[in-house]
Amino acid sequence: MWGIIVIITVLFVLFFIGFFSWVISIYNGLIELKNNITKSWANIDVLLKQRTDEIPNLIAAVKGYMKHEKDLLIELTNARTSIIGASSLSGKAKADKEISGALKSIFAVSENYPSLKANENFLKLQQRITAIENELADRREFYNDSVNIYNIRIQSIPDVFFAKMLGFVKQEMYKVSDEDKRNVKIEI
Amino acid sequence: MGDNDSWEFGGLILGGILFVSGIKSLKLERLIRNTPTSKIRSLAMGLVEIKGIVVPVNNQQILKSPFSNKDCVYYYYTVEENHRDKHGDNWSTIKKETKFVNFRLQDDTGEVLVNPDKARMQIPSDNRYELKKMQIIPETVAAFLTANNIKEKGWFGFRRELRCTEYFIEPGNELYVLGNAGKNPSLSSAITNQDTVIIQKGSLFSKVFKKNIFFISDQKEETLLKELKASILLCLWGGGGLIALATLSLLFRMGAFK
Repeated sequence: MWGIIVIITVLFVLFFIGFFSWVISIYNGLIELKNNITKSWANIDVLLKQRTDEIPNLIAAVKGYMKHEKDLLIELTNARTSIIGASSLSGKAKADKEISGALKSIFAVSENYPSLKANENFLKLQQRITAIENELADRREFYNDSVNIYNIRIQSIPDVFFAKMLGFVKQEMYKVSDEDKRNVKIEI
Repeated sequence: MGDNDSWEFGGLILGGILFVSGIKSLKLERLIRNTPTSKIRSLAMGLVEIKGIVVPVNNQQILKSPFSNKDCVYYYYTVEENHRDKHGDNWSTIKKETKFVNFRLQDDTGEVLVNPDKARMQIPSDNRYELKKMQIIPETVAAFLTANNIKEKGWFGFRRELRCTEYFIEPGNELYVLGNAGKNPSLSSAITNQDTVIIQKGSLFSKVFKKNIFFISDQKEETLLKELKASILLCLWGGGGLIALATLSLLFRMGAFK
């Protein structure tokens, strides 16, 4: 009789330990996914800073040649100021898009200045910034993948029940603005 | 008390082992599913998941697979012998070896150096030779056996029942790698054009945070996840079921349901 009681007690204890371990593993899993999103944004931030640091060098390299493109250079300087001052994720994402746009314009316009195009310093800067832009594109994709995995998880059974209880909410992806998606008109 | 006890206690132990194995597979499956794939040109340091094609570091860092003599960057082989008894086949390993060299993994954005030391490899066997069934033993297999003093024939000149299995990774294979991206510890200031980043097993630091997983497979991520899911179902439900069955049987015999 005692043997039966012991076995049943052990089973109940194991069941409760198992259940609580399962709940803890769900919570820890959600925390890990949320932190992965934070980490992937921080990895974008590192590249944003690297690119921001290159901008003064770029402006110094081009301003002597591109005297008639003052507006572009002002746009780039303002975008740089915005990203340095931005503290929120959405603020940084907005400033990031502004810088990318301004840089694209400067590199496109530089085609009209052959002496600038021949400048070694400018070419190296262009290569470095282009490499950073490519890495940024990869990391934005990675960030969206991380957000997607998290969003799927908090909406799937059984995590959906615990996610609501524990305050895990859907995260926004890094989106391209409608303006960026417009077709570019090329005049030959 | 008698033979019945051994089945129940054996069932509990086996069920426990299966269950724990299922939990480990579940953790790996979750990690693979929850880690997005990184592009090689924008690798962040730490645990990364990458996919690409194997490229040898140079012509000197190339191995030859032991039985088929193919170029490879990693191989593992076993030579087993069957000693049949009244219970049936009884294969025992008489020789095994693992060998590898560093290689590069290339995707559409770049290449990165990989050191496969201490990686958990999941690669299906590439070749299996059951010598007793073969009329002619391939030259490369015969050469291997000779070079390693493994006699093909046993008592009275009869061919031994040997089984040679090899697993290898060739240049051009598509690989899935889940490991730690870090600074290459072998960097030398005297050499130019070195790989600054290397994918390898995590350090003690990352082990503390349970991120020193290092997993390499030549199967696609989707196939890996399917196999892991099947293994999880089998081990968790099988193990749990066995534990439940053994416990119920024990309780029944002890008169709990009378």
